[in-house]
Amino acid sequence: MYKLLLSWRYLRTRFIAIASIISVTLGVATLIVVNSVMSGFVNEMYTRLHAFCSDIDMASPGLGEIYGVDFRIHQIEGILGEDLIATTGVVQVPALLQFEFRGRPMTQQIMLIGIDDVTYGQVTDFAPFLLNEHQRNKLDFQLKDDGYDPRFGEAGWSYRRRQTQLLRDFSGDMRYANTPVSPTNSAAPNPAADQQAAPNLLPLPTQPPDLNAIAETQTATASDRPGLSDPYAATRQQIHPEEEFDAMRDQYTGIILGLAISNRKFKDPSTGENCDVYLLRPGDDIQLTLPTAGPSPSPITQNCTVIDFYNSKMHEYDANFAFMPLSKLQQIRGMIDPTTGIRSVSAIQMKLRPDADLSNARDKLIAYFPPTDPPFCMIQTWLDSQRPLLSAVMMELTILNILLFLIIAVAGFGILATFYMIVVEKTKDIGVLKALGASRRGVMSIFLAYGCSLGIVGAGVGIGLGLLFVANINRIANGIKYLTGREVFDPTMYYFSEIPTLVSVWCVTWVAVGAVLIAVLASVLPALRAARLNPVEALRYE
Amino acid sequence: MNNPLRAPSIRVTGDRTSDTPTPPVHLSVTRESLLSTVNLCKSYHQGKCSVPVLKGVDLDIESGKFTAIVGKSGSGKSTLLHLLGTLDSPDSGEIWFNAERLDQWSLRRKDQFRNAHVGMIFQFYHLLPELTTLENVLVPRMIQHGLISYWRHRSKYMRRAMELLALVGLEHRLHHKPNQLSGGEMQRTAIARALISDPVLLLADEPTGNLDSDSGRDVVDTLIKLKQQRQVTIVMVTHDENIAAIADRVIALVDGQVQIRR
Repeated sequence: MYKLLLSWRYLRTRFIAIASIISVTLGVATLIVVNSVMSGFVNEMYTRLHAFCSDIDMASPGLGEIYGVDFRIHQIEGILGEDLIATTGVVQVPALLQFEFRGRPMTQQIMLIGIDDVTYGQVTDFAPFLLNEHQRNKLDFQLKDDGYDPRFGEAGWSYRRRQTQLLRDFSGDMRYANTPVSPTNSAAPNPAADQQAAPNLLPLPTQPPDLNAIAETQTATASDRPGLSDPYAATRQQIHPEEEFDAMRDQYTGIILGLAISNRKFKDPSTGENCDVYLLRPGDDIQLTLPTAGPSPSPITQNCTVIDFYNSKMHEYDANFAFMPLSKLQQIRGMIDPTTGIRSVSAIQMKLRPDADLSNARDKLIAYFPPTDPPFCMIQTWLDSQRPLLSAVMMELTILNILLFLIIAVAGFGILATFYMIVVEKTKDIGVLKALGASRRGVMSIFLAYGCSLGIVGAGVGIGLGLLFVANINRIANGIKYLTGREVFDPTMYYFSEIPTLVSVWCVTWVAVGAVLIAVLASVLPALRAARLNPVEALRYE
Repeated sequence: MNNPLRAPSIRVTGDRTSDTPTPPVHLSVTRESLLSTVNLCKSYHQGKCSVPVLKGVDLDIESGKFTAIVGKSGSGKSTLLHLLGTLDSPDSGEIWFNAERLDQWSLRRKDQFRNAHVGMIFQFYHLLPELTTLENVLVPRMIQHGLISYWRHRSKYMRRAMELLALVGLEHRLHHKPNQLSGGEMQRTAIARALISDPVLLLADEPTGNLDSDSGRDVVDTLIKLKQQRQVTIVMVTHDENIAAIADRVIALVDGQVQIRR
């Protein structure tokens, strides 16, 4: 009874106890905040990495091909059995993306991926990252009228038609209204038109055109010299009257680009706020240059219409990857055997049951498809392929935890020193208790109970403080930014709109238990000293 | 109704079988003898230097009597009191309590003995500063019992503590901390604390040494009253010849040995 009473009174009346509680509180709160933020980052990263990676990827190195994709998938189904949920073939090829922005031609390197609009969604979590809601529901590579992200402003068919109309109006040349870029089917993208067409993206006029002059020219062209604008128009209409490509109603092959290919973030120097600029919007046309398949690749060009963007929030993906229909890519790269019609792909991706052993499945596949034998594939799980990044993050997390643990250990030694001081200060009281019949164990229990209650109070307050901090971390970051003028969390750097956090109950429990344990361990030595005090000497102590 | 000053019964808890030889034949143990020592020696060591304090003390403390131990500073009075109260162990010699060898008991049994049968009063009161007067008085009972057991008897002990505080005239100071009390009040609190376990032996180490003469007189009067009403055996170390004069027996320590004056 006296142990609890004295522990409680020491806790309430000693300022030094409050200092110890604060050190435990800060340690616990820091560990919870750091672990929650790091877990948030890691979790977000895993989700996004895994969203774009299949569970197992069987890829031909470089620009190589896997022939007879259906046969290979049949073999894989035999090897993996019920573990296998879905498979899909993809074609991956580096390509050059060209487009014009305000009259300036822009070129950048991308990784073009041909995907099957049905099976790819079964293997990866690709769809949720698409920005158009219709494409999210059903991917069809067709430009839509609506459902686009409001950040683009006007997008889709209305944007495309307005842009086309603008070009026609301001160019002052009626050819744009009448000249087909290439023969095309208005209902569906025409492969021939896509490949042969020259870029139809004329620069916007840098100077406002003289509208009166244009009107005069148009009037003259229409009335006086009807054939001058396109001498072959009448003939072409006779040959392919239904295949005219009209950007007002037709699109090229649909392509989905990573948002970072179009998006440029910058800080407005006048306001200091983050601004977004989109070089491309859904409805714009672009041109791709890519190599053909086979032993001697040659460059081909392909027109595409941007039908949507995806935003995985992983900058490396968003800035590099573009998706187009698999069959189209196989066709233009010559990956379909002209005699048998058998198609080839550059990789087969697999999705396994959630509880399946990925490493085991990978090993089974490697045993069946050794890398030294046809089809000469590299077989990896998604963890294997992302290992450099994931292991770097995990190492960071481990080192951070070790450093934080050292901080807590320092706090532990602080508690030890504090307790030692308390024991020295309480020497006479310990002598009195012993004179009144308290046993060694009883005296020791006072200080152990004191340490334990100090740890419990400190850990309890620390948990509350830590969770409160985590819950309001973005507000706190904004507050610090407001006070110091320095950005704590720069969204342009991370592509997260806010700091991700994930509170793990296990982590909180372990941190709290560890803190109480450290407080108790730190009080063991002082408690032993108190227990061994000679009562006569303790009573004489001044 | 419980009489707060009823005569105590002698009970020694713990293991009684280990060290219970027959009483020493050379000592004239009277029927009233509660505590006795035989050839008690104690030295203090400072490095290689040894300072003998008690050099063969033979002593009888009679039951129900007020024994005063007098002597010069450093003559070993307090050391003898600590040995009698089992706070310290002798280098050699024997201490007998109720026909048992006290000095051979285990630490645990000595703790129980101090808690249940000995009341201690110190010159500097030694109250626990974090606790109130009432709580200070209750500490020996708290030490005696575990949490549940104490809780069960809590009201009984509280009532007893309040009776004792009323006996020493501190019924109006129950919830004051020691730093809010005067020296005399603190010493009277210490007396109440020493009595809460109904001890048979009260060991007082210069209880008036730190008090003015009036307060000292009050404290001594309280102790005398207790002795008369409750037959408590009192052993008091004192410098004060006036107090020694009212003791039943006076023992002087000279050069570490006993000279019985009266």
